[in-house]
Amino acid sequence: MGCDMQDARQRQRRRRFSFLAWLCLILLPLVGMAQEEATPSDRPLRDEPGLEARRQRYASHPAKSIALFPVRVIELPFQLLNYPVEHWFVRKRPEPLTEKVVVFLRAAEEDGVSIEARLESGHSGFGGGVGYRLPHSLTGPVNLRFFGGATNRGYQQYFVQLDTLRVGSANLWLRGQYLDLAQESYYGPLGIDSELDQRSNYELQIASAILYGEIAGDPTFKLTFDGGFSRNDARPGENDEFPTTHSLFAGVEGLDERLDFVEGGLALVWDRRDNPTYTNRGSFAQASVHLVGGVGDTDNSFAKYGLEVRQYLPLPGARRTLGLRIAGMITDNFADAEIPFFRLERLGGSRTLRGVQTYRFSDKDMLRGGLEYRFPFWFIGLENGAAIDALAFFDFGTVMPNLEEVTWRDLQPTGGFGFRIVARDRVFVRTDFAWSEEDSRVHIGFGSLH
Amino acid sequence: MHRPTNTSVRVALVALGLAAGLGACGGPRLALAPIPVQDDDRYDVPEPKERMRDDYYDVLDNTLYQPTKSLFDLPRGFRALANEPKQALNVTPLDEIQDSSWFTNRIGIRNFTAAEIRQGNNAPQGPDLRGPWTIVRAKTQGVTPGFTIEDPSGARYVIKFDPAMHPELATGAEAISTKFLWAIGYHVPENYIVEFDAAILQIGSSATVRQGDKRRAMTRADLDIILNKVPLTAEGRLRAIASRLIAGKPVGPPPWLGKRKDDPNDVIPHEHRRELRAYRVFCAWLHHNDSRQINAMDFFVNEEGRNFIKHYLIDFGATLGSRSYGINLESEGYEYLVDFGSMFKSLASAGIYERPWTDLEFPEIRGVGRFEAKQFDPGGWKPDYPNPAFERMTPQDGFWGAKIVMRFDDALIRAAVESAEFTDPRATDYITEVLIERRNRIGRRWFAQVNPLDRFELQVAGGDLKLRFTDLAVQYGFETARKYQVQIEVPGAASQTLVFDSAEVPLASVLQSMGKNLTAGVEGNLIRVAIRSALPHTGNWTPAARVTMLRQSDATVRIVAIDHES
Repeated sequence: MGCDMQDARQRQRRRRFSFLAWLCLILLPLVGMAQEEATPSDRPLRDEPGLEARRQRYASHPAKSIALFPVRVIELPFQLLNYPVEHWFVRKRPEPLTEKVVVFLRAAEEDGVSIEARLESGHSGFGGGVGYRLPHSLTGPVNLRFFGGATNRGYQQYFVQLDTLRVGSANLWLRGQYLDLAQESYYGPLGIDSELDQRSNYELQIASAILYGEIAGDPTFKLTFDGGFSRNDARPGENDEFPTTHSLFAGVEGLDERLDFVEGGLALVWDRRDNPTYTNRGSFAQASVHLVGGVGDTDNSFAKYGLEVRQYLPLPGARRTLGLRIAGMITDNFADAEIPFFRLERLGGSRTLRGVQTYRFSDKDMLRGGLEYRFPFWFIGLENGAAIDALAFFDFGTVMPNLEEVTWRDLQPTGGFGFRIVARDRVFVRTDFAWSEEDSRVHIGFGSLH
Repeated sequence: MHRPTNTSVRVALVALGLAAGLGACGGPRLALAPIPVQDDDRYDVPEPKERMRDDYYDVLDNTLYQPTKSLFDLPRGFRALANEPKQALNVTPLDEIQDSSWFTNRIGIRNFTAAEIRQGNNAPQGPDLRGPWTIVRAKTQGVTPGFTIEDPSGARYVIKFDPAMHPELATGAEAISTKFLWAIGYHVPENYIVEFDAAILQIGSSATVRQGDKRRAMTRADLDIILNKVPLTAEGRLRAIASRLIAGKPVGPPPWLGKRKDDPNDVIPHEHRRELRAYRVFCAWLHHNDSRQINAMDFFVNEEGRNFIKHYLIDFGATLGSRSYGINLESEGYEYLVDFGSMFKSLASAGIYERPWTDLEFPEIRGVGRFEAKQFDPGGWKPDYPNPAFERMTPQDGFWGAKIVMRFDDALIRAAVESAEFTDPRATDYITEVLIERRNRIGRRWFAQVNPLDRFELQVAGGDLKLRFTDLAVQYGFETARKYQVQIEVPGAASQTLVFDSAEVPLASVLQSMGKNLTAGVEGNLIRVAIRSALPHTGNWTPAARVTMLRQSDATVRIVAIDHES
């Protein structure tokens, strides 16, 4: 019985082998025929007896063709893969769509209309908008911009913006915005001991009207400020994979009521970087204060004080840089007022601790830092200095109710490597592969991280 | 007991053995009859369809697909392991190539004057600069706009300009490289440097421009778009390359790999043609990293009553550090567009690997691009993608190419560069100096891969028949005068090894000492001579240059085969 089954298996194997061999024998000539790039016309050849002799002179020996049959079989998958690609490219040359787009955009720009298109990093979405240049006798031309965008995860952003108003030495932007963050994450409890499986999700809708501004003292120093009103509604999240914050952490401050704030901030920025969009050397420091006061039925008021320092050290060789950064934020809840959970300091994700989930940790105060070594990987060879840089990074950070309580053991380490697509002295796309003790993450985003 | 596995192994071994055997069989070919100057690849053939090749696909194909596929090319892999790469198929027994629809031996077989180089393949008169020039077709879009004109004589030329920020760069490069590639032996278009007044341009009634995927009638505004991007000369004129349309019908670029299946004359896979393999040497010299498929073109021509495909090289605006629409990137010539080797080195060394080109400096001279000689490595030079023909170049092909490059002496190089008509004499000086240095590096590199002996000839002198040759390494000053170890084999006698101080072997005397003479013997009529040159700095000898001679019944001897070992 066992022998019969063994024989049957062997027969089956032979049949399969035979089938494959015949398939190859049939497909090979077909592939060869398909690769014939053109057929001669039907005009008769002049009598050229030498032509056949020439062909025979260089013809491959039939035995050689037989000996090389296994090689042709190995090549077969490549041929099959290549055939549709080549013939698609060759027969259907891509139309110069980009040229049409460029012509259209230039014409629009001449008419004072600018078209904006943007990819949303992290949420797989896109947005678009239109801007109009408006003449103004006092401020010079200003732009009135309308923008709307959405992602496949339900995030939405709409704003109307007036920029740039010049008043004295100040540049001002005025923006009215509606933001719907459909699937935000909150892990409980607060602090560095929050559990990975205690993930909940909520939706945050923010309607705001904010005036932004900056006063530049010299090229390296500027004062930025903002102030305005925001209305915040936290609702149950739309992500079915996780419980809602309302069900898992009922009673968390800011969950059950609409919160209205009047808020404003001030920051001193000292920037000696060679290029903010693709930095290779220089320093950056920022000290900020942000005051938030509840209005109407909202009685939450607090202040945030932040400090961030970055240093970029060029290393020997081309495009090699070591970047260091450290940042801290302290929240002062006046008279022990509660701070809405969505206004706590949060850590985790593509811009802070890359090896853990987005907003993995949250609490009142935060300390984070990192070290990043970037070096050239591929000089793409296009104009505008297009290139891909590789990098290795190490991030650390922690959150806590009081910064004074922090110890080295609280600092969560993560590390990894990544790539940056660079062109026109600007980082366009960044990809990071990061690991931590509890997780591994891949981040794809747009623009410079630091 | 049935053991199919063993059977499979046996079959595989037999197949491999057969393949290896077939690869190894076949002795040296002998030129028993005079070799025709012209290869017979111009038989009358039907007109082929135009072969389309998308540029982006071409890069993708040669960057990713072909290199991956070649990993599974077992015969090639075995040959590489045995250090026996496949030699070019169109090489004659005397280690040269015949004239063909691809190539015409020029400077390789005769001396050129500076005036001849300066003139190149151009007619004494280019387009009539008095005009009017009627525009018959234009290209307003893209990075290199231009148009086709018809001059008063009815001749048509493609007019190509310099990039706005780099006057004289692309036109100069095209003029110079055309001269060199023509003198080397390739078929190239007539390219003229012209300076003309825009007033001689008029738009023909049939002139069209492309708009999207359609064509429409050309207008004055279209012409202005083109001319606004063109730098003007000090006299306010327009400088351009006028490239005369090649006679015949363009039928698409030839593939670098394989053959044109619609051309019955095309029986040698292109990657196995010596002139295409060694094109790498010339491209390296001229920094022609843009030597992609689209910069070659087949034309269906009628010559001497026969219709056949003639193969041309076109578009040399991206040579000598020019990129046609700007200057070269620093990496070009040193890395492929996608260079996995450099990427791997970068990653494996955590960024410590320093690319050799990152610190290069280039002069800012009008008409000069990123072109230099200090970091130039002829063996390591790379085009934009791994060209299948270049990849198969053997040391013998490299030696053949280097021989031709070395034939351009300093004066000839200067003459070719002068044809660019640069306004700044420093440009002429600089490009000439760089080309001379690159030439010398090419000679040193490829002459060191084989025994660089050439111009073998038999001469009667002093009552003896002498085999004389030229040691190219000595001739060009790469080596001092040196000794030669000569091993002679004659049928019926023990081989003899002698050392000579000069580049000649007294053949008759040596044969006499071996008990033989110049008359064909009954044992065989071939004399085989293997010559190795001394390497004084190492005390070793070079690989052999082998010469096979035929003793004839009238006691005359002639050379029937030359082979350079590597």
